[in-house]
Amino acid sequence: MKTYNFTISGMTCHSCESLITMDLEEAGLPAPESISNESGIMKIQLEDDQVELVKKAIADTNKYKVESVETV
Amino acid sequence: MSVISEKFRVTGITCASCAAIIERTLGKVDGVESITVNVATEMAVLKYDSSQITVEQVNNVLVGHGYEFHPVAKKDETKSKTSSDNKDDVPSLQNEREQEVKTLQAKAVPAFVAAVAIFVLMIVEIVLTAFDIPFFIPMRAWHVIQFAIATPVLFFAGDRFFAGMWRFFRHGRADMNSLVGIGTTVAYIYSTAILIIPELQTKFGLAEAVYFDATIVVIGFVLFGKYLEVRSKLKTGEAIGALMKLQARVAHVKRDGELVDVPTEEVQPGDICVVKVGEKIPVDGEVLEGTSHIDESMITGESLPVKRTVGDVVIGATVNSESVLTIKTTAVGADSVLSQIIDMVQDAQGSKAPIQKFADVISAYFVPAVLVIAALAVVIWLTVGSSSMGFQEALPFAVSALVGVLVIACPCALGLATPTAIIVATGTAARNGLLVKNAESLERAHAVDTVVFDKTGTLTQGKPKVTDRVVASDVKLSSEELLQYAAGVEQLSSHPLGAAIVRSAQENGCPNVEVKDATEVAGLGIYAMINGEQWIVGALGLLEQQSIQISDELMNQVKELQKGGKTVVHVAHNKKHVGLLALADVIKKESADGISQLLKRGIQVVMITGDNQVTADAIAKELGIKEVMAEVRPEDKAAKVKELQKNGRVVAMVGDGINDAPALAQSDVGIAMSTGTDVAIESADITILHGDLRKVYQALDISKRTIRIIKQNLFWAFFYNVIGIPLAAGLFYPIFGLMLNPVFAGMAMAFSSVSVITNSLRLRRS
Repeated sequence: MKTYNFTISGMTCHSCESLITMDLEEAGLPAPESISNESGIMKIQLEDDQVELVKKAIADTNKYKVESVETV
Repeated sequence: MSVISEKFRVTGITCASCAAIIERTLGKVDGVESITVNVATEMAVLKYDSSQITVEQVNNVLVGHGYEFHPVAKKDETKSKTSSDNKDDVPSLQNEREQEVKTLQAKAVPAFVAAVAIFVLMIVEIVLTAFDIPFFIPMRAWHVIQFAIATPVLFFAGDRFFAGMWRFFRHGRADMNSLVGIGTTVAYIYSTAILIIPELQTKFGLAEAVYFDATIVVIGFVLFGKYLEVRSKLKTGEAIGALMKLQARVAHVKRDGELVDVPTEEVQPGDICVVKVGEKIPVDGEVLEGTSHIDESMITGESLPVKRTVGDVVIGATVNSESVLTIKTTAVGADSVLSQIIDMVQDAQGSKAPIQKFADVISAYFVPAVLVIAALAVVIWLTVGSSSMGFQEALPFAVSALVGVLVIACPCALGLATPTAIIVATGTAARNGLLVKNAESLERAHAVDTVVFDKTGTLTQGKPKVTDRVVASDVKLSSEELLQYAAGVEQLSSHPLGAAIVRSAQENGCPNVEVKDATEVAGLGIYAMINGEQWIVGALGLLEQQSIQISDELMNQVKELQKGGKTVVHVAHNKKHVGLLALADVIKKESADGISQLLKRGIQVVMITGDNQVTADAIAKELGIKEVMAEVRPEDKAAKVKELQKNGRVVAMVGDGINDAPALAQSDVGIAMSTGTDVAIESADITILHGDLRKVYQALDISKRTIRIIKQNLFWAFFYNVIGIPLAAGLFYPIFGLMLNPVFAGMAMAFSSVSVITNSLRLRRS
């Protein structure tokens, strides 16, 4: 289990934060520790093999895009 | 089972994501058959089984997300809506954000006033002390007054900084709020302790000083900066409101052979609508009957009305300017062109990379570092220090070091560096006719290397004028008379070019003439009698129809004029082809200056237009613009800007039409003309008053200076910290016997703030 910071573009308001959280939950992934539309950063604890799943879940929204992922 | 379909007004909705959340959340609820939410109108249509679920239960589900459904009173469809009926439907756009601004205003404005007052008194106190003159308020009373002001400022106004501090202690992530929170709270607690228990001072050998001023000044300024920022963001959502206003309220729909007035949002695809002259087309549709000229300038930016006839597509919100049309509705609501433009604006706004706030980045490292230094200083003084000078001696040093480090690190200058520069620059810009709506854009504009101009209405006046008058060489007629008689005939025409000819004649002071027996030939032109003589004004086809011999000499001229992108109107007098009038959109007189200013500074200038290549090239040539993108469809303007950005260019877009709105939002800095549409203005970051293009360069210049000042400010802020923190920690004491007394720590902090504010004020020079 590691903590990752995802930089996500396309978020405009709190609803976008909620929407991404809902998408992750629906994909059976953990909920983010924090997510901010202002900074565009989502902090989340994941197993190594879940990183790609999160990227895919976000890409599938066709609205948001993961710009970068870094471990904290 | 009783399934009903009901329409609701939705509050709390701000963007497409909100709609998605509502649809997804309610989609899972038992008893909900279907749910569609329209962001643009803030309306939802809910189909539900009323035996399983009530509207109240639906709202209970939504309340956690911050939305609420309000039933819309059922209306009699056959009754025409009055404007007061409509009020319920007009979305209470972004109430929530307005509320946030109001709450913040109630905190930020008083805190800012207090901060300025305390700051001025603080400076007076320092100056008086320097000249050994006693301060006019007795010390103790002065401290009590400051305490009385600092308490509400910290606990009421500064609650967000408290939250920031709390976030740091819980999650270890520091931002500017955490830094402000820690600094101001430490200053407050220490000062209150000294104020209430003065014995502490003597017991620990502490200097006689309190730091309430630090708490008040820092919170006041930083909060006010935040308030300005939130207030500016409020505006970005107003583009939708402006678009909504554009739509026609009522459509005349054919129902059962009768024409009934129906609110536009209730028109369904397939409905047949009749559009009278001068009315807005209510929905997107296809022409079934009639031929007319449509003013589409608000959507396409095209200055001349376009001819639309049976089978042609018409767009909702454009204006029918010539004759009655019957149209078949093809798209309503979210599928309409207008809604798609809203979506594009929102998408583009969302895709703008947030500026990583420099001060936040610094805080993330600075806060933990300062806390570690403060703790280390205490520990070292109490261990190493007390082993060499004894515990009783070392204790006051440890307390001084702790307070001194935390106070000097209190981010006065750091916190003020950006907001003061932005506040002053925004004011300077406003004095120069530049309204900066989005403060971040001032930080972004300095890097702009490419400026993209919309053509119609931005570089040009957006209204066609008569530019050339040609009289055949074998005719005794002055060019003034040509215009005068043509305008006389055109007075009776409903054709848009006719209006342009009449306007040009009036501007040239041509006297009115008496016109009789006018006959208009739809789509071709008009003929009439003046002083018993026949005059014909119109297309070549009309002259041919009237069996008039076409002059070869004039036809050669026509080709030349058309090459320059002009529209040519023919004039015949007593069955003879006597002259030509050429019409074109005219370049604004400031345009050339504005563009040469930019080119001189090495900024690339691009012109983008929906107009044809010939007209575009002609105008670009006149203005000295080399890069031209012509025949660009409205929806592609944003894509073109994106393309430039992909090639590494930092783009400012200047435009005025609705069709420019997505591109304005997509660009790094969107600049709208105040003469343009509300939608463009709301989508842009900066508005230029009076449509003067020379201001574009000025905007970029102010931004450059602002960034320079912010950088200098940050330097000063650091300079004081780099020197002050080790000094306050007592690092130099064992070597030089130097230690920063907390009183001086407070003064150093004040000086750094003064230097930052003074530096920012330099931006007032325009």
